[in-house]
Amino acid sequence: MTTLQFSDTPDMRHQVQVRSEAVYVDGTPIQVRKSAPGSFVGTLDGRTERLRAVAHGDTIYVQFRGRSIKVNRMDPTRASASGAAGGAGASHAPMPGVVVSVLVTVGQQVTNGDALLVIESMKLQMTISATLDGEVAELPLAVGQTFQRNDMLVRLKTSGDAA
Amino acid sequence: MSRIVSKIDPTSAGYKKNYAAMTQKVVQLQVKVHKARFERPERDIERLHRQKKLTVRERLDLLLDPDTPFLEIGTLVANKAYGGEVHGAGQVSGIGIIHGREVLIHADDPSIKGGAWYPLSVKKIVRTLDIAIENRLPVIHLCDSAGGFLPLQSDLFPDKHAAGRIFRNQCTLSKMGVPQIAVVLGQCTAGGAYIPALSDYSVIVRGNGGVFLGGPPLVKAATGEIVSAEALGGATMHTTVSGTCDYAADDEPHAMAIARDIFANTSPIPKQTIDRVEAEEPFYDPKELYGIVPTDWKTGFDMREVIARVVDGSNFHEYQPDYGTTMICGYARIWGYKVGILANNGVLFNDSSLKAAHFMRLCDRDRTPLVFLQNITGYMVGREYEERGITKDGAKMIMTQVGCTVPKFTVIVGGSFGAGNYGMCGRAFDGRFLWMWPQSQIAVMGAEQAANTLADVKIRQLQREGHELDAEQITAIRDPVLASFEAESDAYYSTSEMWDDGILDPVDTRNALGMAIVSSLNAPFGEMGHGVLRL
Repeated sequence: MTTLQFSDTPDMRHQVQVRSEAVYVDGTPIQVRKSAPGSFVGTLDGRTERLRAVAHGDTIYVQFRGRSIKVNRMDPTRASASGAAGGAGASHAPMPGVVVSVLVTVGQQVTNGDALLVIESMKLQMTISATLDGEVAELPLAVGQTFQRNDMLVRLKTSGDAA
Repeated sequence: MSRIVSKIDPTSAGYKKNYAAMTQKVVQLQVKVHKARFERPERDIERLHRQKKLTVRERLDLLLDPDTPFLEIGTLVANKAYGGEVHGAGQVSGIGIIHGREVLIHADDPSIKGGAWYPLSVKKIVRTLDIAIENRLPVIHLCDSAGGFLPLQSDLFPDKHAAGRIFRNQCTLSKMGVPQIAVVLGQCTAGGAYIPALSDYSVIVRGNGGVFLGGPPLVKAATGEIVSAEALGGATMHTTVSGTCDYAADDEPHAMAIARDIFANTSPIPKQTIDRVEAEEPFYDPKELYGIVPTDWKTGFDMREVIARVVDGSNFHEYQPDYGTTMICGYARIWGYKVGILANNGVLFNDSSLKAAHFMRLCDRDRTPLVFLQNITGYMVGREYEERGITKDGAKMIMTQVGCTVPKFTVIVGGSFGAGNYGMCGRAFDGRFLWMWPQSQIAVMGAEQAANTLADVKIRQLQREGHELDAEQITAIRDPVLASFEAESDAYYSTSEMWDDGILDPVDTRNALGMAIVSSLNAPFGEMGHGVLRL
């Protein structure tokens, strides 16, 4: 038996269980068979319906009763995006190293994901990026300066922060 | 397992720059490979045709099943040695398919210096037969060699892994029950004569084939006896009188047909059964690998993007996704076979080393082969990390890796520096196969670090003697070290010395690994057992 999850809109989820003799959608059994490649015949409550479906990756395009519907296959093992930690204003050094380049200046407005500075440690360069939208409040290090692990590399403030 | 979500933007400037740079590297690789395989002076090809011989590639076409893959090993060995003239060290090695089964080919290339064995030729043959031993792969030898290249005899004859090892490996294979077939297409003189003699079966071509301990000139010098090559060790004599060879062939196509038929009569070696499902192509286009790896190896990149373009369906079950995050560990499938992947995503810290060690033990227990994707500048250095025991945690990773009995495969995707190379199954650690990408680098440390370290030592030594160096003198010490380190860290230097089994076009990584995994399953995994960890 295989269990799959599908959604058509972000807040609508359906669980589909595939067993040898039938498909259960949210617990309701439906007799279904493939009539031709991409064509299916299903029986629900004694009514027979025909539909066409094509999969592209995790997206399935369905034609049913003259309507086109798009459903997405959900991955139950994937954590929801809302579970990820929100960005903090200050970025600290993940390990000791040296500043290779500084790409912003104090007072500059930045958006989440913007590159702020590049550090090098153990021969590898790493870009420190903004984790929120805001203004560069502190840039304590200049190019060529070394730092220890956990030293602050840059601090951003949002309009809501106190100066 | 769930599909890796790629964060690559194929329209970004960085991606396009990387893509262009890698395309250039791959074209350069293809040019070098074509030259090594096919480009020969006209006179050498004419000579072969006059002798009614085929080129080594034509021989392979006749021997192997049509339209089947050939996983060539060490195509560019010796590309930076002997003036660059001895392509592939005058040898062709690789895994091919005959009657649907894997077979390891060792073939002399008579269009290069008469198939003479240079020191790197011997290294390549020994490595080829080591692959046969480690993976229990049947071997077909295509013999056509002028013999050892005498001016360099001291580098190819006496040492433990020199020419004698070829014959030792043949005997070892035989003892293990792995079949060997020799096809004598030219002269096999002196040591080379033992290749057919130590094989289970040998085929010899009338007219061209000859097997003798000493050729006619040597016999004349030694005893005064005057004898023709054909009478001394030709096909008729060996198949009717001495019994040194088993089958006489009229010409080369006939010889290849006989060899195929002999192979069909050897018993297939049963394969190890490991977890396998139906294979699936990666969801993301492997060609996108070109845009992922930065042109400057110092710039980091997310190795998950590489995994997503190598494994079945781009599906990956990541182990400890939030712990020791510079080391990515997890399960995936390649050609349907379940594998455990260890991939670098930064420097190795204490936690990343412990994670790797734990994950390898899980894979070893569950008989899951290991795939190492290297981009490693080393284990973290510094007082804080030494106090936390980075050296003993790195030792745990190395000890565990060596203790694993499952097959191991390594791809050097980016850098391979220092002890990171050890922990991640570098050449010394008995991985079944090891490949490099065209832009990758390998050295005990980075060129800059080496140059600075050596300059520093010299400056302090001279300071003790009361000398001060000016900037120009420091540069004079630094620059030659930098240049030699850079030249010898290059993937082409590595492959020239056969520190690897070849340079891969990144898009071929999946199929190379797939073919290697299938080939590795002839050999039993052995008794599980691990060394003592410094806890």
